[in-house]
Amino acid sequence: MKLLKAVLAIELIMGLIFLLTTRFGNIPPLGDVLNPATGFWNNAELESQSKKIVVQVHKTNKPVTVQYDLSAIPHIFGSNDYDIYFGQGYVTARDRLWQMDMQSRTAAGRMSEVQGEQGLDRDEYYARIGLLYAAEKSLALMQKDSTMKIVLDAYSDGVNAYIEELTPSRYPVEYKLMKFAPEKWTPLKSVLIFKLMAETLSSGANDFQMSSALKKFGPEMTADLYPDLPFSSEPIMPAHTNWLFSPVSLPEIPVNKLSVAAADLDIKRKPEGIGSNNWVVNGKKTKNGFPLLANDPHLGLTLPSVWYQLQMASPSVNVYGVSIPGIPCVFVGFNNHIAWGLTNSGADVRDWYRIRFRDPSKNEYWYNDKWNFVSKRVQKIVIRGQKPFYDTISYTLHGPIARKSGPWEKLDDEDNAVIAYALRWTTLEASEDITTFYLLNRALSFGDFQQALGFFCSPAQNFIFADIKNNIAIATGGKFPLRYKDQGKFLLDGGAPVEDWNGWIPSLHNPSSKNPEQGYLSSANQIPVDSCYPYYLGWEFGSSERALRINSWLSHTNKATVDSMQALQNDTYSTLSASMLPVLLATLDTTFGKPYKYALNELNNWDYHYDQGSIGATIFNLWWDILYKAIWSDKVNKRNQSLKWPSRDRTQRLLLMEGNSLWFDNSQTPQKETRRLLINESFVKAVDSLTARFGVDLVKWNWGNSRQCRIPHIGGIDAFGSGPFSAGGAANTVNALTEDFGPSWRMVVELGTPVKAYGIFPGGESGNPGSQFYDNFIRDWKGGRLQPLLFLQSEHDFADSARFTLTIK
Amino acid sequence: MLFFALFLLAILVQFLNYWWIIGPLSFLTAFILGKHAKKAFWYGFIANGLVWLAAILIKIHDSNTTLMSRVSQMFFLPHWSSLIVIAVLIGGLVCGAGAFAGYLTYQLMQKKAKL
Repeated sequence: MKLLKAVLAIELIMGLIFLLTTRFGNIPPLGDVLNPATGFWNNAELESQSKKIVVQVHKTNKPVTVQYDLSAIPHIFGSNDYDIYFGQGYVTARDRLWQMDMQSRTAAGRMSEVQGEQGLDRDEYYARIGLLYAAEKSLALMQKDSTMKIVLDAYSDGVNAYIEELTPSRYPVEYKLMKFAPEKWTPLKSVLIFKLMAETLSSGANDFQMSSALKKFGPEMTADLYPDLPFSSEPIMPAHTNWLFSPVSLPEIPVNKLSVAAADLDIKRKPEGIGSNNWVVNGKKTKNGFPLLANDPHLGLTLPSVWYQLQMASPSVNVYGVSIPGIPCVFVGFNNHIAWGLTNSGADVRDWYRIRFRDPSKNEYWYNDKWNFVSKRVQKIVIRGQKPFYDTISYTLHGPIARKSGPWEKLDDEDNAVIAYALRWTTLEASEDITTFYLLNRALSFGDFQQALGFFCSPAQNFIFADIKNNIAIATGGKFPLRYKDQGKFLLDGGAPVEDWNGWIPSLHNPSSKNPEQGYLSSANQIPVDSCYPYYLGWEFGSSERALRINSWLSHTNKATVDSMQALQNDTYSTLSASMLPVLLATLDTTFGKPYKYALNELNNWDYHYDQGSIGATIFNLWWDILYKAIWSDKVNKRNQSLKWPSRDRTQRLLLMEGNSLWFDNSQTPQKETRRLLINESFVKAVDSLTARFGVDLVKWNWGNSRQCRIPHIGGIDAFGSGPFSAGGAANTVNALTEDFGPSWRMVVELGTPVKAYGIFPGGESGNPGSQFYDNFIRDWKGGRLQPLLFLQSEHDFADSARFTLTIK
Repeated sequence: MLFFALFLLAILVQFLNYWWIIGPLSFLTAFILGKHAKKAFWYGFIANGLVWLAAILIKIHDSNTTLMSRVSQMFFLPHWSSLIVIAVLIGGLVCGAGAFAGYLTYQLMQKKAKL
């Protein structure tokens, strides 16, 4: 009996310790999290803060001084490149270590290592698209440049100096919840995070869906539904730009193009209506006579924030702006001479090639009339609590077979061949993108700006520029393959050399515009050039609504100020509504009773602004959605296949110009649908749906109430996120806020001497959910306010009023 | 005696990176000093519970409660103070159960030695 008791008691204590130190799925190890010695209590931020902190690392050449301002933004002062990038690595890790760790693990396909099996799908995806290999190649290339080697090494050394200081009690709280420890940082991780950003911004592709559409509709109808040129747009580069270079010769369109139906494949599709804004006006159109530059990149909103604000100064540079945690340099910002900003370009930089393997061993593939061997890379995916998984990735000369079996690979009926798809993508090139930012941070002139862009590869971006000498410019940065028209709009034949990418558009031939007569430049992800441009860049760009609004505003302004730029960033006017609503209303029958009459009344009085209190916005938005689906759903939704939905732009053309089009008819119903019928039916459905959801009191239908926003935590912990909250803005307005996507950084720079700047992002500098600086910017960001950015000229500028000073010796 | 020994050990463990060491330590301590099974458990429970309570209160006295509120929300708890209660229960239980098992093992050995 005593034996039994003792054994049970020993089992009890061992079991308890096991239960309390083990993570079960998403349930954190309770004992680890709640014990006072190392648990989360140690992460609560202290109210009192010492004014001076000194850390001894013995790595920097001279002491690095970091002044933290009242918003906890670090201003780093060092004596040379090594010291300031060491400082950047150190302070970023101090605030964002877990976030950096997660991002680099994601890109490398190493999430299962900390998450267990639930991370496996994601890891396989990232392993197969080849980000790790691309990062390795890019790092090797950048390290050949002695300056970039110093930058990357210094940043990494700075991160590691912080990690070495940490004891388990000071690990960021998410490490405790997920039960793992930070590991040594490397320059490769920095490059991986850059490649991950490139993946986020350029991984959508509709090639498969387009090939299916071609098979179903034929070339003419496909061109009609998915046109290369938008119906309403103003290109980024002013129309009729006279391109002064002589273009290199273009590849010819092959005679026998591949025509295949692809299965409904699980690839990321290109989303519509999201993106970023940037614009610049020259001194003739501003109140103070110097250019004003504005930028708001739109990304998935997250906590901790996507961006990390900082200033870095040494004798050779003084730059302020936002960086990406884990990567050295400032990405969007300004110095004493220039300012620059980014928006994503929709240029097509990603193609899929159909590969025919000789047999199921998939060692040889058909190309150029002969069998060729693939090269294989084995990637080990460590899975927490399980045996590792070894994934073999086959590389063809086009790129990796980026998806494993399933619908991606199928036996050809005719012989033993296996069909699979290889990915060609600029992000997989060996590239020196970080060099671009190193040079931009130091740029003094347009020439320096252009030189910096020469290093940029992917993701293709529209770089906007202004300097204190009153120059303004915009240029598309990135490497673009030389292609025949529409090459890559559909799946390509991986066996035919004529379908290869044929070298690159010379970077100086990339679209750009400097000091145009109109006195302003802007981009909002729309088509970059008109048909005068000699090269093919793709067919599917952002819709034009934001661009039209921005350009109309900028063309009318003569005394622009920071305030007016800020107002434009927060503008919620919808050009889509303004062009469509009057037409839709004119098509409505006139015999509606309650509540339709009230809804109509709201729409008639609506000012086309997606403001928080707007009722018209809610009604129009739903009406448009239902109408859009009613027009297209029978054409694109099939049992085994879903095709690409025609764009909003194409839908507008249909509704405005092609009233008798057959596209209005739903082929799945016996009767014939017309434009008038669909418009009326969708209006009734929209009002019915809103009545069912919010009742008959129209006040409750307001946009802020019907569309709630949130800022989720990147680890999916709801309690560490923010929201839900009400806000104005929509995907097609300049203030492009959707549910959890939108302006991730708003910046306005007033060039001049001195340069003055204002900015805000939806979050805070700290990655610690217990810090007052975790989400302290959100209130101002929601209110559309910007904060003045403290651009110091010397470390002694405000030493006394700093929140605290960190000295790294 | 047992209580004070456990209390001292519980304090020492606060400076280590493995909080659960208090389990095996209380086992050993009660094996050597224990006199009664139930008392061993309660001494362990109270000693470590008190130390955890004090350590938590010291750690949070100068900090803002944001993180505690967020973590309690994560565990679907109404208020962050319930986290302290749960923590103290966990600390108490591990030390108490360790001491309890230690004393029972001691008793078993005694019996075997007598045989």
